[in-house]
This record gives sequence, structure tokens and C-alpha cells, in this order.
Amino acid sequence: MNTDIESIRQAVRDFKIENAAQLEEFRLQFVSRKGKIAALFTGLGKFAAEERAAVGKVLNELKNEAQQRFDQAKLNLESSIHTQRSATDDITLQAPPRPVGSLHPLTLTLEEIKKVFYRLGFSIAEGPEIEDDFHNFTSLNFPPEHPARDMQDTFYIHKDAERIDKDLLLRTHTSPVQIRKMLEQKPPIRSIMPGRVYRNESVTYKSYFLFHQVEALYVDKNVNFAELKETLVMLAEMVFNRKVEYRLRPSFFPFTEPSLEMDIWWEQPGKPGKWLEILGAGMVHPNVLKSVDIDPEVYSGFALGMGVERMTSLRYGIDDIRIYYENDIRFLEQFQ
Amino acid sequence: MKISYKWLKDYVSFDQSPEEIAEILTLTGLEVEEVTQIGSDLSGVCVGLVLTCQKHPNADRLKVCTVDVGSGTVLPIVCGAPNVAAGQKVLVATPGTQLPVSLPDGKPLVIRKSKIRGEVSEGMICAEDELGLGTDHSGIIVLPEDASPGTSASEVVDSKIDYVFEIGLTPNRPDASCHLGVARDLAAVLNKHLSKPYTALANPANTVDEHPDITISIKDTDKCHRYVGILIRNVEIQPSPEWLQSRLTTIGLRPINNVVDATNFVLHELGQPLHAFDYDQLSGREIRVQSFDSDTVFTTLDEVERNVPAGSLFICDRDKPVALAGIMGGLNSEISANTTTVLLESAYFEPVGIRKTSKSLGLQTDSSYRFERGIDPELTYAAAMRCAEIIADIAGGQIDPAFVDHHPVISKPKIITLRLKRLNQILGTNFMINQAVSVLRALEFEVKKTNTDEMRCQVPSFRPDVTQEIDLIEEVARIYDYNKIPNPDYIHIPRPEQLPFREQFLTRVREAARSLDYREIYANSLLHENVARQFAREEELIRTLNPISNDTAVLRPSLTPGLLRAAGYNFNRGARSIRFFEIGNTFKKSSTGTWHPGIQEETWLMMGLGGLHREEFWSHKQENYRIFDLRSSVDVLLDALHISDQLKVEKITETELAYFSGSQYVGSIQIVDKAMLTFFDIEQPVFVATFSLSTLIGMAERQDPLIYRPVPKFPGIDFDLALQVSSDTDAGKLESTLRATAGSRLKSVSTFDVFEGKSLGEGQKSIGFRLRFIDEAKTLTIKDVDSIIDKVVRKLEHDHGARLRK
Repeated sequence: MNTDIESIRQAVRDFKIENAAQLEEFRLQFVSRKGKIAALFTGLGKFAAEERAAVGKVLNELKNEAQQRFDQAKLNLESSIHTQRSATDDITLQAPPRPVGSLHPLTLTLEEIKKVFYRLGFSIAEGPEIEDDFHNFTSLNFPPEHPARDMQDTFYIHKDAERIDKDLLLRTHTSPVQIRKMLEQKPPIRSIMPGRVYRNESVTYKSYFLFHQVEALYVDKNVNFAELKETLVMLAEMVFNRKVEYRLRPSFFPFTEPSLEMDIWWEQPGKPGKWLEILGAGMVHPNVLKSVDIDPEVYSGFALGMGVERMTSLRYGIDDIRIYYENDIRFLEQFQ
Repeated sequence: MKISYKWLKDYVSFDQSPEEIAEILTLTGLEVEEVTQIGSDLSGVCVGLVLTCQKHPNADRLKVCTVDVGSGTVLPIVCGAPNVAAGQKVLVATPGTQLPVSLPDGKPLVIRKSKIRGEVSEGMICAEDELGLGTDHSGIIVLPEDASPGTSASEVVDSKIDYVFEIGLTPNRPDASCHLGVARDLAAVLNKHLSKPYTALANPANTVDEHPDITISIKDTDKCHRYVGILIRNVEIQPSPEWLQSRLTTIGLRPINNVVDATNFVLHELGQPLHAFDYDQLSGREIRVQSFDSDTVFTTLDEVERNVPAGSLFICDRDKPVALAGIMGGLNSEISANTTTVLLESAYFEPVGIRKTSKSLGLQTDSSYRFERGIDPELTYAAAMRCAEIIADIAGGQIDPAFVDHHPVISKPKIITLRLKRLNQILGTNFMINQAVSVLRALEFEVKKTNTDEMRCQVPSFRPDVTQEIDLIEEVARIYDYNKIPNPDYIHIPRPEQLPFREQFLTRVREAARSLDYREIYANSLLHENVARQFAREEELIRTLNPISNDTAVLRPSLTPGLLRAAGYNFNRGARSIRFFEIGNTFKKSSTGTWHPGIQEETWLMMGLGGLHREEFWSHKQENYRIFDLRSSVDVLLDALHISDQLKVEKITETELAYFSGSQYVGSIQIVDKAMLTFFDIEQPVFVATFSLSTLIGMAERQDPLIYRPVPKFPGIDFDLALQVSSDTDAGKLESTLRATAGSRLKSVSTFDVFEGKSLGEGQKSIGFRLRFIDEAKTLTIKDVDSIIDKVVRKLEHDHGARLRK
């Protein structure tokens, strides 16, 4: 019996397992219930009771050894399957493409700007794209027939026969939302107004008949020009993520006084630096506050506004505004 | 507006470079958009002594000279000027010099070493015009004896170099629409004296109401507040002298003749538009300023016949209009070569009237530009006299000492108080009152009264924009320089408001759509009428009254055309698949309206798929998108917004599913039909979903906040149900019935199989639903669900004639 065990143990150790057929042969000979080792177990009954335990122990060791040899060989065979892989088992094959979502670059810029303003404690307000003359012009201190109206060529929807302030038009700026906000809420007001605006301008690489603006409005007691300056500097530095060299130029908007435009110094590799206008701003004109029943002797405020297309073009070096509305995938996919 | 650097020096003295002046002007609010150099700085040109001068061996009109240009250098130069001679001191352009004259091909003339008819020439002896110093080309410039060879030309002659500032003038600053006005700001900043080219501002003594040779009357005194007429006799119409031509050409004006040039000069010097009539062309020796009740056909001096609308102001003689007031003179009375007597007009026309006429004719001139912004009503006479004196000087005429000055509307001077406390409160500064006083004085505000707290001042008549205290504050700030106002150490931030729910919701929608692999687009919201009509009824469309073109005449009633246009655009450029979303506003007429009565402006979400879902790839076959791809995206999105529980879906047509909240329509998913695709030049299938975000926001806002539910403790059990129904039964109906009948233990329904075939019989199909049941309190067994299945099957059979397949 012991010699049988030893010769089988040797056979288990020497058996060549290099392919599935040999593995199967091994299983039949040594692991299967009808195999040689199982046969030895059936012979166990012949042993005297006192011997049976010792022989059984040796047999079990043999059985385990065979099982381990089998398991290991099977594992080896499976992991060495690359030597006989099918064409589609090649893990270097290209993975199938999948669609990718993306946000429009104008949204990306607007979201950045919103984040900055949220950090500065501003909320957000919206208004309609179709506005009346009252909200878009009259209440913003654009007198009828004033050349200031020429600064913003307007698409009209409806001309009122009686009252010019009832004309309907496509808003030329997001400032009417300031008026709406001030009419519905008493100061303090600290909010931004993003949105789509329209100008009756021909389409070129630098002008389009619609574009997007963000304005910000802060009205409270003792709001002053110096604080506006500081806010502008913080805004510019957060949007462009660096210290900026800037200058403020007096300018003119009917709804602010004093009014200004802000330039920042812009350098690009290989080109001479230059001043680039990034926004307009000013102290809310007393006439505007009066038009929404806020006492300009008690309250003051500042407003600022910038073009989302302009800021986006600066961020990404885009030189043709028309591309924003073509929705060419080859453009959009650059911003995913 | 163009302003000459040198011309400014006539009124204020300064040493700053053109670039420095440009920066100063910009920082006072006169934004210099561009600085252009006019003429040459004469670098490379120096004094030379002609040593020898001999006839050119091969050309009769040329001479060969040797010229000493200093430091012992002697250049051989071939010269064609008739007056060149040995011993002259001349100006020599040395090789490499670029001269301010153009060759026939438009390139600048650059002097090079060359051979002219076989003779070496290493420079050019220059005439006046070749150096941009004048118009003379009759011969070379001969310098005085004392000029020393080698001296640079700019030291011996005035180089005539100038710089032109292109100023983007804001509409509030008519006072700065001339050189004197710009110089005034400059003088205020530089703290320099402003020299005015005139003295008489007050009403002069010589004014006559009845002039023997000219009768002037103003019929529409609301449109013409003042009219000055001066006669200048015996003028000789000629080209202007060099200085005047040079002034005008520098700022881009074409010299015409001495009289017209003088009026243009004064316009750009003082900002007062003037007009010169040929007195002999005026019938009846009469001028009437009036408007007409009907349209008038009138030929302006640019030889264009114009139909001028009723109400426009004209200058007329006894019989006819002779000028379109404030805008352009008439062809019938313009100054000609034969003019001998000039009637010079200087007037104040009311801005609104001029603007209306100018806009309706689409005719803006240097004159109308100034009138419609508001000129100085007190300058009328002084400007007229300034111009008359120039005309008398350069055209040899005599000014009639008697002149007409009708002034029916005299504007009252504005007196404004500036409170120091207010100034510092608005600006955040610590100015003293005397600082404000000195700025305002420099800008010619007349300070009437002042103490430590406030000042009263009279606004100069040329500043119509200054009407209240805040305007004075701006004047002080802009002359002081905004950039010098100190920034505060910290800013105030009032307690921030909650972000509006709408904003939070839109951000979630946008993020959800992006994470479902949709690309955001920004489509045009103005459409061609033929496009818009495909998406709304004619009576719903909102049009702009003044579109740029028909392509952009109607506001979008839907976001779908934006998708289809973007799809067509990309498919035509080789894209094989599109997967877009947009959030934007749509516009329709309605009986109620959202923001404005009758106008329904709403925010919508659009999601669209088109073309290939998968390209052909080794792992799968090519496959088009199907409506189910879009529906799964939409349902995931609605789920992510936690509003899907409130919605039910109904088939509206064979190609459209609509979503309702109760009875309210909130959106739909549809297969875009072939005709529409053809209209947009698309061959691929396209599917579009549009949802009213305005409605969804309302739903989401009413929704309870999200509260955690414990995950099930017990496993669920699946049951497969294969139903045989007639082919025209909608699977969606079976599913609804099933969900409604199965009770609360049913957690999900999944349609795992659909087939039709001969085995089922004609007109039959089979749909397999896998139902998952879960009980929160125990592990379900098949026995627990049997009774539910029985009930469901009976209901399906009753409602839809469905039979359970074994």
C-alpha cells in the first residue's frame, strides 16, 4: 500500500501538464472520484483500525497534493491563455468611442464670473429679453431723442402710438433687470444680472446682433466710487487669476455718473502689449434711483457690466464672435 | 473725431509727446483710440553743400553734382531740378531714407544708391513737396548760407510733422468736438492757460434788426434759437493758403476753396458749424428759417436729391429752400468760383429736430453731429466773426460792419450747488473745497459763491451735459484722475441673499444634461420667417419691426429650429452624430403673457440626438440613434431633478410622446419628421425633446425636500410576465395598467422582450415584462406574488385583451 502511495505521489509530481488535454488526463487519473487516489481510499477498509488513521492521513495528504497540483496547473493554463488568445482578446485594441458632454465656452466664462461675484456676496437676478422702453431706456436716464440712444441700435417689436416708454423692443443691455430688481426690492441690493441682449448691428467678425452681458448692481447707504474701484480690481484679478495692471478711463453711460471704462494691460507672446477694455461701470445716476423710488440722498450705488463674449474671447484667444453661434462640434469639443 | 497734436498747441502750450498727450486725454474721458503720424520726421535728411554741378553726359535735363554732407563725406548725386547750382546749401536725403511721398504703386519712396542714365547717384537733393513740407515742386529748397553741412534737416526747417488723435467722443461731450474744447480739458489737467482765438462773446453793438441788404427772419423759433448773418463783400474765391490746407488735410478733410475751408476750420476749431451762401444766388435778399408741413424735395450740395420729411427745418430765400438747416447746404446756393459776396450763417439749431431729420435721411455730417449733441448757444456770434475775419484775410473781402443777430430763445444759465460732503461721500475721497473749485474754474465754470462746505457755480454755456450736482462730481473726479482716487482697505458686503431657486435649478439642469453626454449649444434667437412658421402658428409669431435682414426677422417660438440648424450645419461638415442641448428663451404671442401682456417669453430646455448612435467599430455594428436613446436621457434627467414622480407620459401622435403634470403639458419627445429634416437639409434621423423649464421650476419648487429612505433590508423577487396582445396595442398602455394594478410592492418594470411572429398568429405580438417586487418587512416568496400576478393579468386581459403566454 505504501509503495502504491509513493509511486502515485511520484506520478502526481512528474505528470506533464502543458495543455488542457493533459490537465484533463491528470484530473481523470488523480483527482476524479474514479481516479487512482480515490481507489486507494476504497482500499482503506482493509487496514486495521489502529493503522487506518495513519494511512488515511497520508492518503489525505496525497489527495490534497494532487488537488493543489491540479488547481495550480489549471490556473497556469488559464493565465497563459494569451499564447492562444483570439483576435478580440487583445487588450490593446482601441476602445469604442463614446459621446462626451460639454458646456458652451460662453457658459464656462459666465460660470467663472458668477463664482467670483458669489464670493463677493452678490446674488443673481434675471429679466425678459423682450423689454419695454421704460425698463430699457427711459428709467435708465436715456431721454427720448437723445443721441445716447444711438450708442445702442435697437430692434423694435412694437411702437406705441401714444407713449414712447411703452414701446416694446429687444433689450439692448441687461440694465433693465437692474430696474426690475430695484422696483421689487429695497436696498441693500447686491446682485448680478446675466443674459442675452440684442443690437441692430451687422454681422462681422467683431460684432453680432446678439450677445451676452453680465451686469452687477450694488445699492446701499454710503456706497462710493472708491469701493467700486476696489471691487473692479478684485473682480479682474479673480477672473484672470493673476495680478492685473489696469487703468480707469472716464466714459459715458446715461445710467451712471461718474462713469468709467476699465482697461487691463494685455501681453501676448510675440506681440506688443496693449490696453484692452474689459468692462464699463459707474455710480448709479441719481435720476435712475429716482425713477425706481429710491432716494438718492439716502442711498447710492454702483453698477458694472461686461460682455461675456469679449471675456471668453480674451480667455481663449478667440478672434471671431460668429463662431459662438455656429455650434460647430469641432469648436465645441475644445471646451469639454 | 480727429484732433491734431500741433493744432492743439495753438491754444495751450505743452511739451508732452503725442503718446503722453494721448494718455492724458484718455484719462480725462476723451478716449484716444489711435495716434497716427502725419508727414515725415526728416530723419536721414541733412544739410549738404553743392561742391560741383555739371550737366549729365547722357541727359539734357539732369545734372551731376557732388555734395558735401558733412564729416568729410562727399556724395555724387544726379539732380533734375532746374535751380540747382554749385555753392548752394541744400537738403539731401541720404541712402536708406524713406520720404513721405508715394510711388505710383503706393509704396513709399526710399532713397537708394543707383545709376541714373549711367551716372552713380547716392542720394537726392529735395524739393519742398518731397519732404512733405509743402506743395512746391518747382525746384529744390535752397537754404540760407549759414546752414552747416551734415546738420540734420529737422534743425533747420520746420518738419511739418504732426500726429492725429482719433478720439472716440462720448455723446455727452459736444464741447469737446473741436480743438479748443479738447485743449480746454488738456489745459485743466496740465494746469495751463487756455488761449482762445476770439475775444468777443458778448452781444456786439453793431447788430441790426433791419439790414438794408439782407432780411433775416426765424419762423420756427422753437427749432432755431439764434441766427447770425454776416455779409462779406468782394471776396476772391481761390484755393486756401498752405497753412489752412495743411490744417484741414491733417484731420482728413479735403480743401475746397478759401471760403468753405474757413468755415470748416472754425467748425473744427470752435465746434460751431457755419455755412457760407453765395449771396447773389439768394432771391429777394432774404433768409427765412422755417419748416414745412409736407415733405420737400431738396438737392443738397453733394448733388443728391433728397425727399426731406415734413417738419424738417430749412433755410429759405424768398422763393425756395437753400439749405437743410444744420445738416447740409443746397446745391443752388453753394460757393462757386464766381462768388463775390458771401453770406455767412452761424446759428443754434435745436438738437432734437436736427437729429430727427438727420436720422430719417440717414445723413450725418460734421455739422449735424454737433447740432444734435448741443453746441454752445453763446458762441454763435464769436464764431461767425472769427470765420469772417479769416475769410477777409485770405479771400481779400470786406466784412460788412452791420450784421444780423436774431436770438429769440435765450437759454438761462444753470447754477448748481456742489456740497463737499456729497462729493466725498460719492467718491470715497477727502477733497477740500478749494480743490473742487480750482478744477471747475479751469473748466470755465464760474464760481459764484463758496465756503468750506459747498460752492455755487454757473455752468458754461458749452456744457449742456452738466445739469446737476453729480455732473460736477464727475468733472472733479475725471480731471483729478480716477486712478488716483485711493482704493479702500476693505469693502462692505451686506448679508448675501439666497440664490434664487430658478438659478439653482437651471444649474442642475445644465449639469445633468452635460453629464448625460450632451453638448451645450447657443443658437440664434432670431429666425427667418419661413423657419419660424414651421414651429408656431402665424398669429403667434413675434417679429422685429426693423430686422437687419429677412434671415433674422422673427423671434424663435421654439428651441427646435436651433437644434436642426446646428444639426444640418455639422452633418454638412462631416459630423456623423449630434447630441446637443440648449437652455434658452422662446417667444410667442399669447392672450396672457409672461413679463409683458400678450407676450409669452419662457425658458425651455432642448435635448436632441441625430445621426449615428455608434459608428461601425470592431466591437459593434453601426447603429443609428433611436427615439428610445433620447427618452432614456430625458427620464434620467427628470429623475435627477426629482420631478419624474409628478409626471405622466402620453402618446400624442405616432411620433410624439408628451409629458404632463396633472393636466399641464410640460414637454415632449418626438421624432422629427422627414419633411422638416428635408427643410433643414438633413438626411439623418433626428430626435428632439423640449421641456418648459418655467413649468418644471414651478413643479420642483413645490416638491418636498429630498429625505433619505432606508435601503430595503430584504431581497426582492423577479417575475417574468410574457403577454400576447394585438399588434396595435401600445406597450406603454400595458405598462401603465400594470404599474397601476400591481400595488406598492412592485418596485420596477423592465420590458425585456418584444416579438412578433407566425407562432403567435396574424396581428399579434408578445411583450415580456420583468417585474421586481420588494417588501420592506419580509423576504418575498413566489407565493406572495402569485396573487398580485393574477390580479394584474386579469386586469390586463380585461382592459387590453392581453393573454398570458406560457
